Amino acid sequence: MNAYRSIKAPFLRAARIGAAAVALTLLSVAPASAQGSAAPASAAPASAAPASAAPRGATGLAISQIEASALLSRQRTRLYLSAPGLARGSDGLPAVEIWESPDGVSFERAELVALSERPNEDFGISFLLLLDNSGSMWTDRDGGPGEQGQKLRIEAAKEAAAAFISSLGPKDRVGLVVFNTRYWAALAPGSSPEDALRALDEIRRPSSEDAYTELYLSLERAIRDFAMEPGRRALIALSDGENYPYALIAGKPNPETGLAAASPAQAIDAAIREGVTVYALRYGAQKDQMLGAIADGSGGRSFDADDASALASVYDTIRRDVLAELAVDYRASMAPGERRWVRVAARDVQGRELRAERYYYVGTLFGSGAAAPEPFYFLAPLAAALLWLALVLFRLERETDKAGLRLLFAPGGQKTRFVPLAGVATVIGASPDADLSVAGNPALGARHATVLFDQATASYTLVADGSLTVNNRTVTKKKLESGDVINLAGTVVVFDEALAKAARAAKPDAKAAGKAGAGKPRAGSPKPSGAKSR
Amino acid sequence: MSITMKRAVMAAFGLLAAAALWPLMLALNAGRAFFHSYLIFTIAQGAALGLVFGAFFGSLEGVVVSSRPKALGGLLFGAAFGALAGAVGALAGQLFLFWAGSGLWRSASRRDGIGLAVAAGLGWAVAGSLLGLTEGLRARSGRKLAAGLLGGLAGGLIGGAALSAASYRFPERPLALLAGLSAFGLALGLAYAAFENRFSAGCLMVLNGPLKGKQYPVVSRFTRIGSAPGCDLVLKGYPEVAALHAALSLEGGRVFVRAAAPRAAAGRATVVAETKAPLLLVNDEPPGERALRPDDVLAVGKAKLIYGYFS
Repeated sequence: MNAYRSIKAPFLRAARIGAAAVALTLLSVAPASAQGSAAPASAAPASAAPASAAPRGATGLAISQIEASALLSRQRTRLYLSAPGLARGSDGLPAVEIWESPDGVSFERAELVALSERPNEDFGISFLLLLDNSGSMWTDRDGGPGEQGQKLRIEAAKEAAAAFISSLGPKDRVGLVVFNTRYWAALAPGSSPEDALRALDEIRRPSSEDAYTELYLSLERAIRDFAMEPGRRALIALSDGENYPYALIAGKPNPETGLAAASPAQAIDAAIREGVTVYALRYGAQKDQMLGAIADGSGGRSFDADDASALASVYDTIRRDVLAELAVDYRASMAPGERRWVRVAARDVQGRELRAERYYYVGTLFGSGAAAPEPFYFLAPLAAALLWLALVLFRLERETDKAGLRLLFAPGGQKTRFVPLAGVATVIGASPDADLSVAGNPALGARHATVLFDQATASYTLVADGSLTVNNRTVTKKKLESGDVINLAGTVVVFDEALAKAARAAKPDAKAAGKAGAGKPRAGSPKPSGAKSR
Repeated sequence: MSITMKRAVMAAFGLLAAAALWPLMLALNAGRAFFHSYLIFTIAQGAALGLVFGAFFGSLEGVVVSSRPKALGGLLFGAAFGALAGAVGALAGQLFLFWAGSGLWRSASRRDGIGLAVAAGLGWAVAGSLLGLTEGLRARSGRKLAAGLLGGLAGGLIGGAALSAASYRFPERPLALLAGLSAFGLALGLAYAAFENRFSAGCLMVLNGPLKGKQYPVVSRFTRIGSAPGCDLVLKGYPEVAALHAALSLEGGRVFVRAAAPRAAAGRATVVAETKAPLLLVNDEPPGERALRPDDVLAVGKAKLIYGYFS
């Protein structure tokens, strides 16, 4: 039984990657057998063998793609499940349970919204073929120059790809990326199969400078280019060698990517973020060690092939696998955090438990911080409320309690000034010894105007020497009222006087009546309070 | 209070609102599991933002003119209308996201990254421009509506971009959210103040008494002056000011002042009641049928106001 190898292989690879962020497709045929079985790993068959050997075929369960594009709008996440031979429920559909977790530890059951069988037949599949066109691809199977009628590897790869493209259904979409030192998007994803066949024909032998194998960098870029495609995205990467980056080995910047480098962990992260499944096709004897781990981490599988017919059968296997998938829509939770784990549990027809678990990314507004605000943060609204209250309760201006002249506008641009009126006469003018001396206005007379105080009536009267207006009317003499605007040849002053005093003077009876009404009996008649101001 | 002072208070109110909103937003974020779906959660976020900003900006006019009833009424109206505005903004942002997710930014990482950030910023901008309408709606003033719409849009775009950028760039930092909210409030307050002045047809400044120095931009079609708290320009604490004393009307950019009379049909105010008419003078004369000119001095009871354009 293959269970042991299927569990262990991804773990070993993950350990080699040494990156915490590596995603693993945990596949198990009953947890007990996964942990305890000591079945030895058998050697991979010579050709077209699933190298990462997910226990598909007869039974098995894997999450091949997670689609979260409807999460923010309809609160739904879609899982594509590679799950042949599941036990069916009373409704005739495969019975699956979905669990979700914000941390990968505590899972909660999620509500299943819809389950469809073979959904990719109806909507079609998007394939992106990533084809190695490095120098070694232009050798034969044994690394020779292709004499004695030996087929070059690139020829075998093109043949297999052409056969695959020809077998695609009318709704399937395809794209082609050819890479070596350079990355060439030969055909944009989402194109028709006929265009793909034409693009295959345009592959040419690279110069020695261009013959490197920028495998990880190209893979990561292809994943991002592929991410725009709707629906099921299957990227099939074919390579006959190991990652052989130009910058690192040639010691100079790559003509396209400079000194950029990519790790398998980065490629896996990109695949998970974009919801792209990577299928690795390792051709020939020299195999990239991490390509299989990338495939596993992205929800795909890896295969080894040694010749053209093996290659063709791998392409066919991938397509049949994807066509046989289930799609499950479930109601996603509102758990905080950018990363979300999902677990699928089901039983195979023999009643054995099957489980698959992966994580995906959730876009969040205002970040993903789940931490509750610190209690002292709430001092901020408290302080804001207090400040607001203070602004409401305390008036920003205070009323004047004594009579005076306030400079409102002067041609010289002088600042507002307040001069209290004291004594019997207050002189306003340009002269330095005027009581209100205004500089910088040549039109102003030395003693332009005088404010006289009449003690008998406690009132102020303005007497003009030069021309002036009070409230825009030319006057020579005027009894001033609070707020009167005096314009002395462009210098504008406001006469200010406490209104309360004016009010008391104006309404002595009302005040007195109010006091009497307060219930304080007084001897004799109340004295008019107006008298006090005299 | 001068226009400069008013602007400072507006900016300060934006900051106060941000400080008040900040822990609320964090608490909402932490408690998102209680929400039924992301859509509702996002709408709740928008409503919370609108509620707090609306409450502060709605009470601003009352605070500036030192009228407590007006401040409280504005607070309640602003909170209610702001919550609605914020919810509508958030919904608009989400609609944009759904549209952009199927056209503009189709890949998951772009949708979850730039797409979400732009959608959020757009949502805040919409919320901001609607928030700007609060005062215009409260005062039923077309000019204030226009000023609010433009000021809110400008402030909302700038502030929304800052807020969204802060939460996108530093998703896990609570202080980044505070900075973003502060930028949003500041931009909204300053932009609104800038446009309000631009849209005013002059300004009345009080020359004496308790409200001395306060400026009232004339932006409404109809401004009631009196001692009653329901007036637009409340002259409280002035002798001889009637509850509804006078009214300013704005006709084709010109300002007319008339003694308040029992409202005649079709809003036409007629000068009546010579007997006990409250004192209303323009340059010490009864107001005629001419528009106010800069430097005109109004006497409303014992209160004196000067009309003009002040900086």
